Amino acid sequence: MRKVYIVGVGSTIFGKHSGEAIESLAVTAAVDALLESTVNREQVGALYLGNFISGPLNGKEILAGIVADRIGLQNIPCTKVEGACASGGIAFRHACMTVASGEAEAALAIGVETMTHATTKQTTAALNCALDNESDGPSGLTFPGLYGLAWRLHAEQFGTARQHVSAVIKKNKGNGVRNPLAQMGATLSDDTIANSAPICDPIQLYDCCPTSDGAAAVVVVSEALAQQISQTLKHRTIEVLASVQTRGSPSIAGHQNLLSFDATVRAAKRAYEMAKVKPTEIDVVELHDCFSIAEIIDSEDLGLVPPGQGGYWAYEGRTAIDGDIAINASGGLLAKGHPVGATGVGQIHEVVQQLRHAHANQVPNANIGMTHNLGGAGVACTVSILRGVA
Amino acid sequence: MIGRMRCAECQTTLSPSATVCPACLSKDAEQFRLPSKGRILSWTTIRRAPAGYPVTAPYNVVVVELLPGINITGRLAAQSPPPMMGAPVKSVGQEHGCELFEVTPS
Repeated sequence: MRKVYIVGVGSTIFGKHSGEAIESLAVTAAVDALLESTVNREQVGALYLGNFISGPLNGKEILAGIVADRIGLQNIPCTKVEGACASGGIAFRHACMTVASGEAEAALAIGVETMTHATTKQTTAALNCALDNESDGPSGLTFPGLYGLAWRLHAEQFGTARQHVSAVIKKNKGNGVRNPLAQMGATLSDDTIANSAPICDPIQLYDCCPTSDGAAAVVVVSEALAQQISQTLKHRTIEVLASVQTRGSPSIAGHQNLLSFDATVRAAKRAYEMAKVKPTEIDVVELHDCFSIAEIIDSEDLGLVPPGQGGYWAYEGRTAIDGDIAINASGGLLAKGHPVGATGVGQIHEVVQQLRHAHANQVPNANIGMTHNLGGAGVACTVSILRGVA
Repeated sequence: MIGRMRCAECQTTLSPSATVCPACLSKDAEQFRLPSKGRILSWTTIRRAPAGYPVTAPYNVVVVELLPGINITGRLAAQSPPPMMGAPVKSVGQEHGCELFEVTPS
């Protein structure tokens, strides 16, 4: 397989984009990524668009073809990919694979979602399409409920308490205040979090990421094309060292251990092997904190934090921007919101800005970064490892 | 007792909607009985039910271990004593396709 490089990224603000059509958000991000990349549109050989619930919430499918048409791409394969909340990460990986295989010299990955126009009832019903409804639906379990189950196990086995989980929320919401792409940043106190509305015990309102609208896009190219355009680029080229996708159980009862998502564990293991990178060499990671406790579990599953220590590390500031490992310096899903299909590509955007040393919450000397995107009850996972080219 | 389907060829436990065995692709399934007693692996109180769900929140969802490696997601019956981690439970029937459990004295 050939080497793959990121030469352009674009992102809208993640937040509320009232009245804007979903394809318009995608076009904005895609055009920014294309212009920044200096790649000619004729060189783009494939488009992958990650989206989860535009069907039920907007009555719109075939978004990949619509967006390609709007931005004047040629008669190339345009594919919408869906893997619940991991749709964006999957789109990015497919674009990388297309270039790595030699099928195309350049490929465009887009992630997009609009959610804030819909009622909570509509959104919940759409998101619940990512549950194995035959197996888990009859119990009345919801996604926050899944993480409530996981939190209680974590508390029992490792002593993880409200204050440790709140430390994740305070960090991510605080990071979001300084990130211009994050609309849900806030300075929160322990009391405010602990007094917020109960959702699914022990999950409370501030433990949940907000719904959001947004789009992000990435242009990936071959080594030959990266070298060809290197003089026209105004920023550091980023190498994709690994982009891995795995499957886990679609149903909650299918997980042997609710304290861990095996799709994440296996994706991380393979990504480290492919990239020839050790967990201690990762400088910055954007991981899937759809709920506060999810960040704790993910950080352990990714091998960045010892098992059971995720809550304690957050509480001790070891996952802050100036900590041992900077986790969700962007503010993560908790502060950016979670436009589900866009999130995975948005994570790539954030890590690329870190590796270019151009992030609003810059991690000093960041050189190797990781993204982690998880869908459904852990049914689909992508892990990517990126490195700044010297 | 809780009824489940398993593969008649290789005894793999099948999901309720399975039409083939994911382990050996056999289409031969047979009924088997799981124990009606288990223990709570974890639980959560759902305070906002999914749209259209026929039970009014709050209610307790429990993951129950019936046999080593065989877990089932169910709901605690309204009259049950409060859930606790590891608490013994017994099956008390089904409602809307969901297995109902009740915490029993240990």
